[in-house]
Amino acid sequence: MESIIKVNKLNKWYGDFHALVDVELNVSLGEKIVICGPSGSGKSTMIRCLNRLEEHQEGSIIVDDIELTHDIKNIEAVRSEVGMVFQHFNLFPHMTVLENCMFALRWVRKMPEKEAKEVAMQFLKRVYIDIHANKFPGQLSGGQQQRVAIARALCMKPRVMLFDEPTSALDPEMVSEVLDTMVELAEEGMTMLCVTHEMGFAKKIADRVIFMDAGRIVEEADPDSFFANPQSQRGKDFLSQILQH
Amino acid sequence: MATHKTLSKVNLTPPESRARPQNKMTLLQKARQRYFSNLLNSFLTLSVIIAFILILPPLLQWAIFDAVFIGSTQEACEVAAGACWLPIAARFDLFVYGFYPETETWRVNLVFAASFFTLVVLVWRRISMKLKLVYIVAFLPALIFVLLYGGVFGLDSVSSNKFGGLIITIFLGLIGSILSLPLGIFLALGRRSTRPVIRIFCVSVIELFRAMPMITWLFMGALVLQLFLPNGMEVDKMIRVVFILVLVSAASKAEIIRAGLQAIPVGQFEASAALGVGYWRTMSMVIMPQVLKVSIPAMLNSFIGMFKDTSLVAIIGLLDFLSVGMATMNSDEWGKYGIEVYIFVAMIYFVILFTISRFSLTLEKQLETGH
Repeated sequence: MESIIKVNKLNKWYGDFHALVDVELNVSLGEKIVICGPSGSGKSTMIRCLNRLEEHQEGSIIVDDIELTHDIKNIEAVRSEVGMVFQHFNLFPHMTVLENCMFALRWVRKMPEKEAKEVAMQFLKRVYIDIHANKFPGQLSGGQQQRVAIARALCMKPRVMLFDEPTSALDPEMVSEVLDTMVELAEEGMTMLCVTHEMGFAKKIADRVIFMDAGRIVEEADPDSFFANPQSQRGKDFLSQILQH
Repeated sequence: MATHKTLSKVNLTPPESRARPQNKMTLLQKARQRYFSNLLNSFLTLSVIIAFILILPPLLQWAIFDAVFIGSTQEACEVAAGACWLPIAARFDLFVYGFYPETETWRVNLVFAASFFTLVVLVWRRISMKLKLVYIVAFLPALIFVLLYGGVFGLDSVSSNKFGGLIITIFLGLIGSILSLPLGIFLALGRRSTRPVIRIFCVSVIELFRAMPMITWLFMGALVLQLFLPNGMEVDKMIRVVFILVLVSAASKAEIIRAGLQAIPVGQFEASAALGVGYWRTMSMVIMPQVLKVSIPAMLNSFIGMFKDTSLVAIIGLLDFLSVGMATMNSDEWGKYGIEVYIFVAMIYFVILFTISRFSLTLEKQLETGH
């Protein structure tokens, strides 16, 4: 299968703290990967390295045949092919929902306004939020805002979607609307890397679960065998922690 | 499970909401509650009332009832017991237009009108923020320059040493403040740059202009700057002063904008970057609109400070509004009526700046409810 992301011996430090240690990762086109692990284990840092929101010090990251280096042109090229959804949505509060989605189409894809509007509306429809297109983000609920953020990323027609704990800042009753959107996206064949603790979601869509601890990938397995029978002690401890309730 | 049973309670008819009870009070009761609720409050209220009674009637007597409004020479004031407002009437043109050619004063009036119209534009809801910025940062300064200096579009050229009075005050206050905005933005961004050369340069400019008194800089602009220019090249004194005012004001604006930048969540930068949007586009379309919005109160505050500081240009020999007043007091004819002149000058400053401050409050409220 065609490989879309190749991470080789990735190392990252924050000051003297070794945040990522020899991380190796290969993602094939169409693959869905769920990344979990205790807080501070480097999950977010790792996926933020994939579009260079974080800089790595050693190793190589190749996304869609482009290597991420200091070259800003390469970085921007990768970023326009990789969509990202954040924990806190990060919508632009001074733009309407529609303008949020049109923004990158207009200024990165250089699309004429009319065409950008059509594309944006098409994706807003897809996340069932087109009726709110002319509202400002502040007028929407958290779940709605996160769906707009997903639409905003999808508008760029990315080859890969990165999700950084997309449901952990949501009120409990809004989690499922966002997860449903993500499941639909997965079923359409999108390549996805998702940092999440939603085990039901992981079991439903993930081809592979990656368990990280202390900046290292500790365990990789298909979701059924990982959740049923983690091989590592740290994996067992982690699962017993989150399944307690 | 027995405990659960005792805890279980279902309210099938939840209480309905109703109107808030009205608290009806007569005007007298309200006044008593507000101003005479306890001994200290009553004392304060009475003190203020007594102070008014003591001060107001004599003041009105002096400023209005016993004052002289009509006449053209000083003799008319000799016998009056109250204020003499004649110096203002006699020198009104000097106060407003300086030595601007009499036939061209309509141009000055147009500048005043455009300046006032700017306030209207600022709070006009139907004009987009972008258009407002274009009007204020590009159109207004160009218009003011063209109208006051002339020399283009068939307007007679007027030398800046004919400027005086309110012209100078408004010209320097507005142009200095407006042109310092873009420079302040670049200085603030430069201060956060990852490139050390840019950062050090911007920090130096900001700190240098912030940490030295404006008068020092005005002296340098008026006298020292000329020494560094190539021989024979003479820059208009007014332009040199504008140059200094812009730098001083940009330094303080840069700090205001820096504070605004720090208030923007890092997620905004990241979201824009993650979409592949470049630095300048991110700054101009995502970050700055949010920064400027939160900085408007501080900016207008800095503008008001700047407007008053223009009176310092008297020290390098420009005849601004306050200087015209001082010149009037130093004249043989009106030398005795300094208090009246000062009051007039202060009132005009107050009216202009109070108006601006009211408009800025309106603008702030609009932006709060904007989205």
